[in-house]
Amino acid sequence: MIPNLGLIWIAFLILCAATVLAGVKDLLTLLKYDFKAPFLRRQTKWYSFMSNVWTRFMLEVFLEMTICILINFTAMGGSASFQRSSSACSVILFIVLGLFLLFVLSLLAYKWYTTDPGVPEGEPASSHKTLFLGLNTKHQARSLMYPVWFLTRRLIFSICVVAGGARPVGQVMTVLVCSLLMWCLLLWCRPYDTYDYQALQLFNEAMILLACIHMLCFTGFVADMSTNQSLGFTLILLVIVTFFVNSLVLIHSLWVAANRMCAKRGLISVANSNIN
Amino acid sequence: MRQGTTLRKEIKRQIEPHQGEAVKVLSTVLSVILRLLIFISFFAFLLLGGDMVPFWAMVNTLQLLIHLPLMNVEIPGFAALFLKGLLDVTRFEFVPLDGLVNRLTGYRPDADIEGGLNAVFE
Repeated sequence: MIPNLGLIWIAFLILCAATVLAGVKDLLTLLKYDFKAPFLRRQTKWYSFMSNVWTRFMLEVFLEMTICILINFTAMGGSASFQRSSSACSVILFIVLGLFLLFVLSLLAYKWYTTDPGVPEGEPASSHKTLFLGLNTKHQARSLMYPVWFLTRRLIFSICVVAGGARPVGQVMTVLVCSLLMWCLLLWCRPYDTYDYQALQLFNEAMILLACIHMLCFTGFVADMSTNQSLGFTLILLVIVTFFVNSLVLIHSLWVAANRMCAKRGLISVANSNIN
Repeated sequence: MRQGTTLRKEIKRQIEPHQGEAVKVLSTVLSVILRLLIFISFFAFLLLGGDMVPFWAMVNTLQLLIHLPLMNVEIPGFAALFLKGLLDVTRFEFVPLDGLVNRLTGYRPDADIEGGLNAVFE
């Protein structure tokens, strides 16, 4: 058990158990396949499913896991049995996170060197389809730059938060530069396959950038307390606006999905389903 | 205490009670809405098979925004209180599991890091 990780640790253990079960089931299926075929072509249904679940899980909990593990590393060496076991768990999770980052990086390197940037590609392998969720799959090497920077940025953020406490300006500036780099990447690589998602991500990044500028003001850069108080209110407003805009897009997306489902089942006519 | 004794201790951020209460209410309301939205939309997407990009985009953005107070900066107390109220949702801490485990094992995480992670974060 790792302090502060809570449900994420439980979910991690459940996923490990599910992977073992899926692995046993797939192993039996795999025996029927032709072993001369390349490994990637011998993927089975459960292998693909678990691979996608793991990928999404790691992407979403990466920030929380790295922060908790790094905090735990700073408190490592306690004598209590609970501390010893949590330190061991932290090391295991650290290896898992490192392997995941290595996997995404190696996938990027593989795509970068094996595909021609001028030729559109087909669908990505089903085992890591979730890594390309919403991304442009015709130019996978370019699109993969986004998840790579997504993870690297979270790692940098965690290191800054845990180890950079002595230099608050440095902490904020690092996060600010990471946010600016993400903006550059979104504009340069255009990783998303639709304009709407691209715009949504740019908006979200702008909000993070604005929040970082607020943080810079809180480092003592703005001496006036009343200005600081006002900046506190604008920070709250900024979070509410981000939440509100994202909720609207989310609800719209749900509406489109519901319409599509109804049209598929013949409950409404295709003309009324708002499907583009 | 002897007369003339000098006390040296940092004064933590202070919030006016009415301001703190208002921010707490706002944070709780937003937290409940966010929890409901996450639960309902996640299962709705699974059922309807829609595109989950907006869902993950919202979670990822809020994750970064809400973790910003971990930095060693003097955020106004009410803003820190507001963001703290939303922290559990973005950490996927829907059940207070840590408190339960700590109570069972008798472990006190605060004892490990004396004085908090940094001067303003405990």
